[in-house]
Amino acid sequence: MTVMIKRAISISAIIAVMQIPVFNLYAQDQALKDAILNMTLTEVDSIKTVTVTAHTVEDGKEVPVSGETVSIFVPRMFSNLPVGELVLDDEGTASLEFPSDIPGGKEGNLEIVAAITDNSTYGNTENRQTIHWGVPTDYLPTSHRALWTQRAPRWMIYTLSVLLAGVWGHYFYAIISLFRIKRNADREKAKAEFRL
Amino acid sequence: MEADKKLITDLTPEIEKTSIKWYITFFIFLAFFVVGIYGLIQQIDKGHIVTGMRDNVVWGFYIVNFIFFMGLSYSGALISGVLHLFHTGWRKPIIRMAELITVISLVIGPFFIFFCIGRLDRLHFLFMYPRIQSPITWDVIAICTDLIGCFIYLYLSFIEDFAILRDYKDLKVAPWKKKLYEILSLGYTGTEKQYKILSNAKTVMAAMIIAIAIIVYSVLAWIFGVTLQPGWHSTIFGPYFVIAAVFSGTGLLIILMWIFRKVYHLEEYITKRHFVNVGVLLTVIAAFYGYFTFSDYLTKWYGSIKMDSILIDKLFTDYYSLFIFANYVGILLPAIIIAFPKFRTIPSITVAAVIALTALWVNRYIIVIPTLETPFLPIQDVRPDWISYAPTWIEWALTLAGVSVFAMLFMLVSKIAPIISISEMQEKDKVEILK
Repeated sequence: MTVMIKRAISISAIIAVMQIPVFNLYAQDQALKDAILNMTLTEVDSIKTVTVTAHTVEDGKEVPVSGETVSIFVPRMFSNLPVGELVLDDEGTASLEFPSDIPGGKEGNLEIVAAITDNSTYGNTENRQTIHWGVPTDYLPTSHRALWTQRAPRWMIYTLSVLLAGVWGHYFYAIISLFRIKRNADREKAKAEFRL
Repeated sequence: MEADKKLITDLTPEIEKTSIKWYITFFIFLAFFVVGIYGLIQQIDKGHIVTGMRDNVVWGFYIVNFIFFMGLSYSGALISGVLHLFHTGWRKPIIRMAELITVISLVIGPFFIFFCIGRLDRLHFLFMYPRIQSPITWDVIAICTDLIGCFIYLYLSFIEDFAILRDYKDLKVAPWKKKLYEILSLGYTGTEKQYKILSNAKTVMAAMIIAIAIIVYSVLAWIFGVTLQPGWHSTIFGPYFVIAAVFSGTGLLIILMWIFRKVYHLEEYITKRHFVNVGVLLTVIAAFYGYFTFSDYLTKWYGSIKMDSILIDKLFTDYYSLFIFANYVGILLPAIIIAFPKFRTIPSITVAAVIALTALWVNRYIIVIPTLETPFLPIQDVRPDWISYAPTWIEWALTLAGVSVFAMLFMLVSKIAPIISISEMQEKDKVEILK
């Protein structure tokens, strides 16, 4: 009983400490400002440009977010491929030229992400868009035969088939021999019975 | 089919009645087996943490035993196949033992793979999603094919003996055993036609199991050879493994010859000549095996590739005793004992075989473990006790259980079939019939 009372007091103390703003993570979140991140993808004369703008709302008015860093990246299989980092100007705008040699999916689609990450004022915010800016790449290993694709090289299939056919052919010969012995034995038995 | 009464009585000592010695020996092996099963239950219950295998050394005793038993099997196939094909006169009393080594080892070997696999529930994936490019798939296909081939060959070699036992009127066995002989003998009476069919089938299968034994054990060696691990990535691993297998199998054959001769008083059938002949075979194979071993380590040492050098240093420091025993004592001592006619006695040849067999097991150990303790990419901040391998009692127990099952299966076969082929022993020159 005493142990339970002690535990209850400890839990109450922790809850009380959490109410102090310094230790209150929820209160911290409440202190962050909401930033709205917009991303515009344009292509002029084969030059692809990513333009980001960010603003926050204060007293009902849009206020540009300036001086903050926005990361541009493309999600890949295991992690994000960094494309560049932009610093927002006084207008809350920044842009970069997007490389044109990033492999996309089968149809060349890329997902581009602009993100403000772990920012002390704005926390995390991002904007992601999919666009046909990648180099169409067919990764499905159906196009060729190799050790590392799903389709084995022909020589492997031929070698294995020939070996197995050769071995199993001889097995069948041995098994058929067993049936021949049995059949011959039955005939000999029938002959002997007939003679009797 | 008829056979000499004395021959049947001498070569079927356990078929009619079971001796007290048989029961005692069987129960001793059964006790080891039960301890192994208890260890296995512990492993299934608590996971592989109860073994010595950790992140670096993921293959331990189990894989060593797997390679060892598979090697015994292939060597049995090679020896029995060659002896049969060349109609070697002195083969008759020992060919049955070689055939039994083949099948029994082949049955036991794969169980050690099952003990080693962490996710046994996914075992069927090997058959459901096989990739021809994977050496593991080659091995699965090869072992299954070999198992079926060896069973067929063993059965072919038993048919004549089953027919003899079926027709032997004075045989006092249970009716079920008589019925079994009747069914398994396929009505074989030894007519000219039946003999021809059976001989042809045996010859074909003898040739096949030699070829399969070489291919299958090479496949097992290639699992190591195609892996980019220091010490394994070697082009000579295929033939090296085959020779090593024959070396171990020849050693085991000599040991079994000694045991059967001693236990069943077969001095009349298994003579010093057999020991000397198989012993000379062991010496010749020891020379080849020694040559391959030296060649493999010399090229690695001279090449001075960083990881190979680290591995060889490890072999000559941490594994010094085992390395010297496996690759010097285990090769040279048996060869010296048998090479000099003065030393060629039945006990000395048997001792040489025991040394050869033990050394070969140790050789497998130092091929598998030190390499895994020397990875190309060391794991960061790994616990020191995870780098080195030390087998636990469970791995020892399951290893001894494997050996026990080998002995028990041999003993059980002796309850049903002759331990030395009666048909081979009474075979006159039937080659004329084949002509």
